[in-house]
Amino acid sequence: MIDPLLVLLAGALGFIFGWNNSSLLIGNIRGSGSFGAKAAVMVSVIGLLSGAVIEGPKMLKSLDGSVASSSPEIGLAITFSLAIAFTIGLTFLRLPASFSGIMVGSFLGVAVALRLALNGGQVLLIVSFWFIAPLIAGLIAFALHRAASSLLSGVSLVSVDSFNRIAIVATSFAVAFVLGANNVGLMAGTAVGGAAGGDGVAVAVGMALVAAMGAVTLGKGHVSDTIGDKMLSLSPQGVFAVFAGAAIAVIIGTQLQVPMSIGESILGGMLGSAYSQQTTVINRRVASVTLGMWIVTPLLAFVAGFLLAAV
Amino acid sequence: MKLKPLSFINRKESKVVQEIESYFKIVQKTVDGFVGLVKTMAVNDQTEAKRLFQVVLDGESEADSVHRTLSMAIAEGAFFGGIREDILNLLETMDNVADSAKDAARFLESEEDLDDFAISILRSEEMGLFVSNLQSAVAALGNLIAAFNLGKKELLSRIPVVEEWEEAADSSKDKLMKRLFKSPTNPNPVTVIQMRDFLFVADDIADYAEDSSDVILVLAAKGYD
Repeated sequence: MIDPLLVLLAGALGFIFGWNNSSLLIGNIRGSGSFGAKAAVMVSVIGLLSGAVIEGPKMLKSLDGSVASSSPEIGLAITFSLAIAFTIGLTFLRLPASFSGIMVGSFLGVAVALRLALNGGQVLLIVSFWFIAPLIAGLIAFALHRAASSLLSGVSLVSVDSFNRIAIVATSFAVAFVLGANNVGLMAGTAVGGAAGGDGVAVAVGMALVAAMGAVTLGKGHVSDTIGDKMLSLSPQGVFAVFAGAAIAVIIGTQLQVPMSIGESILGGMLGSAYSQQTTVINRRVASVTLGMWIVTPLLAFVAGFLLAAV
Repeated sequence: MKLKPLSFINRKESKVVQEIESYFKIVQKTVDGFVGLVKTMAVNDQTEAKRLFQVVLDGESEADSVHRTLSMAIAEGAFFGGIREDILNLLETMDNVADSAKDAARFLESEEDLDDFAISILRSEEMGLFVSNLQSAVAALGNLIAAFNLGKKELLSRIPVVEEWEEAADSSKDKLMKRLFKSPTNPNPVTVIQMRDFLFVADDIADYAEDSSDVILVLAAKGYD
């Protein structure tokens, strides 16, 4: 049976998740200057929903029942509560929250404190893929950016603009899709208790809608400013390459049941895309802070989860 | 080259590019009117000068009107993401070309009875070269705008041509300045100052054409990455 408290907490997290990722879900397509708000919201909602329904079920057992044996409800509640607290805090600080890193970190902390049986192989796979995914995204973005620049250099400005319009819709949809598949699937699975084998698809659909509401109502694009504009400036073709690379990396992670932060893959993609050009200026301080946060937050979440569960 | 499979979604953008080309033709017509005015004033044909002055005024006014309409359409439309501001800047600098042609024409129009020294300057070989260079700078800008349909390489290759004509105009302006200030005939100082101001304002035609090419360089860098 699904615990209403867990679903409530998951819903709250889904709303905040949508807020934190609003720049990816809506801000990017709006910021392109080629589409209005309605089109951006529509692409985002369809992407999140289809991702949650088509690929989301693969993530339902990615934490509870996969990383560790079935956690008691209090453990899952602590995991959600910490994820909410961390995500709100980082969003207010205008830093990209590694949402899945916080979830995994706090769940592991709880699992260790409650002496649940850990699946070492899956933990190792998750942590190692967190480092591999940005490399995959970077390589794909590098190749795609090169290919797009080469293909488009001989065509008219109008055709370039047309390509950009199609690419921004396709990649924005892809990003919403993988967020629905991986992150919404993760939240839904944790809410219904993946190990208990609950049917999380309905919950995932509901959470995808809640996430879209969070993106629409509270999102203003600040997080995108941090990971994007302050770090380096990318052309529309660069953004296409970055988002495509990141989406591919996350969908690979989804097949492996690895909870993924798309932000890490986007960072890797941005570097790959930037280095595909002859001249690149990267704000190394912002890149270092962002990278550092993604390493530190799962560790902090682990400690917090351990302490709360132990108490 | 245009990617035909994409043509179904770029009708609005294609129309904007066509309108920019049409807008340029109005600007060019204004500059041509100005150049014709200079040549007519040199032979002191007042009737033709009045007609050409009106051509310049009408051209500038039409350019202003089209500039306003086109800018509004671009500002309100959801297209040319990432380079829209640069296109608006381009329209602004193109408008400055027409404005400069009108301002320079006013110098000649206000001088109903140009004295002999002013006429000799207008008739000089350097003046002929100067206005020809102005015309060439504007024509090179038109050639550059036409490359919007051809691709990055062609676009970039045409940018330096505008600058070359602008430098040629600068050079011929310098020669005219020397002629103005080192004349052995002791001309009226008021005439000298007025002709100097006229040269400065007329030279703005080439300067703004070059500014337009600079905007197109930024536009190409952003658009084509």
